Amino acid sequence: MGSSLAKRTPKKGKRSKRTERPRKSWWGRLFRFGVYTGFLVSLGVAGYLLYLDRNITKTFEGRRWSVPAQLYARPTELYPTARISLVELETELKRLGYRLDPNLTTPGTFKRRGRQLDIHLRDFRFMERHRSAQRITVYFNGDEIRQLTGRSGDIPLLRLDPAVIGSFFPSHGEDRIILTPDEVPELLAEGLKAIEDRGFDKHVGFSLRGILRALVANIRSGERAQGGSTLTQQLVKSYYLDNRRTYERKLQEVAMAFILDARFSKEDILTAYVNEIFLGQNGARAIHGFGLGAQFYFNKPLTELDPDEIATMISIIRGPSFYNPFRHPERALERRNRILNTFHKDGLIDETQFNVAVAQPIGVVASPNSAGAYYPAFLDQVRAELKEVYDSSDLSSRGLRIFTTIDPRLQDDVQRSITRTLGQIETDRRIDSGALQAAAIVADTQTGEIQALVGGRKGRVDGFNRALSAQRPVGSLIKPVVYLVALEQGHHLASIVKDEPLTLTPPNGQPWSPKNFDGEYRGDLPLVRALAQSLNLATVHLGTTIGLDHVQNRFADLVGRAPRNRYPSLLLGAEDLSPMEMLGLYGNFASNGFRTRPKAVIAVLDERGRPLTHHPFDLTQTIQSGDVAAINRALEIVMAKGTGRSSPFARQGIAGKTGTSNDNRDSWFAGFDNTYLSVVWVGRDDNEVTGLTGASGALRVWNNIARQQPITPLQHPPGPELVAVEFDTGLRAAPSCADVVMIPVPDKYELPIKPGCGIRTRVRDRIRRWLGN
Amino acid sequence: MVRRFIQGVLVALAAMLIAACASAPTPPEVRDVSEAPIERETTPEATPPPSNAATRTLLAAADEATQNHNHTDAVAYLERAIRLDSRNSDLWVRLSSAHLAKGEIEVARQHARKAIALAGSHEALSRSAWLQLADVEEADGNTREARSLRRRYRPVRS
Repeated sequence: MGSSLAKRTPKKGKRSKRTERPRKSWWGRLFRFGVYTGFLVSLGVAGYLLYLDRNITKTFEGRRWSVPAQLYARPTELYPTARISLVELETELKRLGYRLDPNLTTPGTFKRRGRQLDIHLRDFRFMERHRSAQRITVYFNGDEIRQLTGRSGDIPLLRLDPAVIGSFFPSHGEDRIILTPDEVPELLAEGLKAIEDRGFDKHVGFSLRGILRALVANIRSGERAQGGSTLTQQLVKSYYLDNRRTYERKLQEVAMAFILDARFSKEDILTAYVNEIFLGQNGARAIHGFGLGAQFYFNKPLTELDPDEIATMISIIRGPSFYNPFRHPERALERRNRILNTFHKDGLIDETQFNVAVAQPIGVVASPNSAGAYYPAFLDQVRAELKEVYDSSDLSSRGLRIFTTIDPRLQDDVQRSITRTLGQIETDRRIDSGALQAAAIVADTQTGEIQALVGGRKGRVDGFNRALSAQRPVGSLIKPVVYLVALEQGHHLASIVKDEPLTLTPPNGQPWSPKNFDGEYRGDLPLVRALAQSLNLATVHLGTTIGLDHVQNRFADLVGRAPRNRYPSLLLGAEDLSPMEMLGLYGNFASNGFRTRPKAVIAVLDERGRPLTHHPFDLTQTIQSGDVAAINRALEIVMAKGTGRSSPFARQGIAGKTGTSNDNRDSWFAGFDNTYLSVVWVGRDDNEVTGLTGASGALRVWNNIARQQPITPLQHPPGPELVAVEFDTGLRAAPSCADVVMIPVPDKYELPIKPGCGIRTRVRDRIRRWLGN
Repeated sequence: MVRRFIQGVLVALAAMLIAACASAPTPPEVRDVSEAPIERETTPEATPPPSNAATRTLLAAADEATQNHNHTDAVAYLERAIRLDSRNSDLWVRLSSAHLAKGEIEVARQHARKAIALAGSHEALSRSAWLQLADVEEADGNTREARSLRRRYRPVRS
């Protein structure tokens, strides 16, 4: 303590000496103050610039490669004998944004010559290989392809490039397709500079002259109207999604633009601008960048845009709403032509190009929703399948390429069928317009790949997805499970069951007396008829014979979860399933006895095209081949002679089942031919009565789908012979007798014979039966 | 009484006649299973559908990928072939084999079973599918099961 005092004393002395020095002049003090203040301000500015530098650099780098996952549809396969007509292929090409060009100048063009199509295919990186751009010719024979040729002769098989069906943009809604500098057309780059920022190549991120000009204009007008922004400033503005026009913000914007210009090349900045700039809104989806903009407005890649289309897109930058070419085509056209004029004056396009371009109509696709394809209900399924492997930031920023199973042509057909049929039904039955809702899923019978998924009456709209989320009582669609259990326990389709009244009283439950749909009962009849006519009493009799617990167990095997209903009413479908779960159930039958998981994703690739995950066909055998063959045969008879017979396709080799829930609230149909398994549900969101049966609602929707897709009749794997039995009685009969059906039975000689129907039995069979009796 | 006796004799005679007939060669049976006029005819496929040029191209590409040990691509080619012809038992055998090469035993097993189901009673296809299942079982360590399957479905030497 003492020593520290001793040390301080001389300092004090020094200070006192200092105070004795003559005082500095006023100017000196001012100078010193200026120096200190200047130093502190510089320090503050440097710190602030450092902060801005870190901020903007991080954002720039982050956004540069933040690419939402792109989703691709199943591509159309072209090969000799493929069932696609010239007109259909032409439509498909137009859907993909290919355009007519007699010279096939660039990829993405085609021309028609009599019964053949010449196509200049785009290049595309598929899952397993890259396909270069090439010219091919497709020859047709009626409604199918006869031959495919290319530069080096016949081509056995070729894919069109797949349609882009959407992307997983982040929750803030920004969607984009990222382009590399090489992919930015020169006219776009030069045109942007000519229209938006003439000094781009020379300035340091901002233009003092531009700012002063804007300032003067603002002072004169008394409001902050002009921005005087360079492309770099616009880019900064776009990053921070802030349209407030304050002087502080402007200062910050200028500083950030300056930093960007110092840190990155002009080419990098221009490319980032091309990828970033906001170009329009489609529902929740914000269209960013010229790559996606070209798809959105013109349904083709940016590289294929003509000068007039590039000018239209540049015109939109100034006011995506004001110059919206869908809503204000004349306004947009006028500005486009002014821009074309500038292009011409600056020598970016020659006289001929200018004259051609200026004569073009605005040329955007018919509506925001017709550009490309957007199927939100299907995307829900893709998201559900991927959520176990990828988190949402992977999907929205890693530039993944997701190959899916959807067939856009079929998807559009199914959506159209739903919209039209519901309208017709409402008119026919005087139901309030718009009251009915529907869902439908169509999948490949053998692989489970979903080719169409409709979640409601209006497609292309995000909303409640009934195909995945609506849980509805399934009614008679459950009955094949009951009959399957019976077959597995040794019954066959000609076995006799009673269709008589009964009352069941489960333990601790209420007595239950089911009825047939018409209140009648029919006595003894064969299983095949009971299923075909969807007879409730016969089904409950059968269910109690074979055991409710067995039906519950088989339901769990086939659907993948146990039924919630533990009572006998399960036998008649008092159990809620979603259409997707129903697809899973009927997939067991359609696939010849395999629980085939419905799937929408084939593979996921990283941004460089390297495979990340592959999603194989997922199937597990659940039903023995003989039993599934019998059930499928019975389901064919449901269509030919039972509740499905009103369908015009009923006798063309379709297996199916209609279903109606209590009081006609839910109308179901599940059916399959050799190629497609379809499930359709029709009902109301408020669960009110519709008055529709399975046949008068969902089956009508399916009929309209089938009208647009040729039926491929069911083919059964080679198996045991079929036997003719009388439909009403199950008695063995000659095929020439009236009202017979062909079914598999374990031993036809065991069956009683219909008298007077031309069948002679073998003597030993008669003796065998006599001895057996 | 007499009537009953006569009836009894007649029945006995009829029984003797029936017994005689039963030991005689069986007369040609009336065909009671034929083209049913009331329904669409379902003709079981006697032979597999001929692989068309498109499928053959994909099989060749799959073979090449397999030779290069690129089993992921082989699976992709074979799945593409199945999309063109999804009931072709042979394609499922090939796909099972590609999954087996990738070490995906359970997938390979189910695909082999699928091939068996699609082959139905077609002898050659069925045998090929069962032998594929034998390969899967062997890879899974079920040697006895594999041996038993091979014994049963081994190609017959001519």
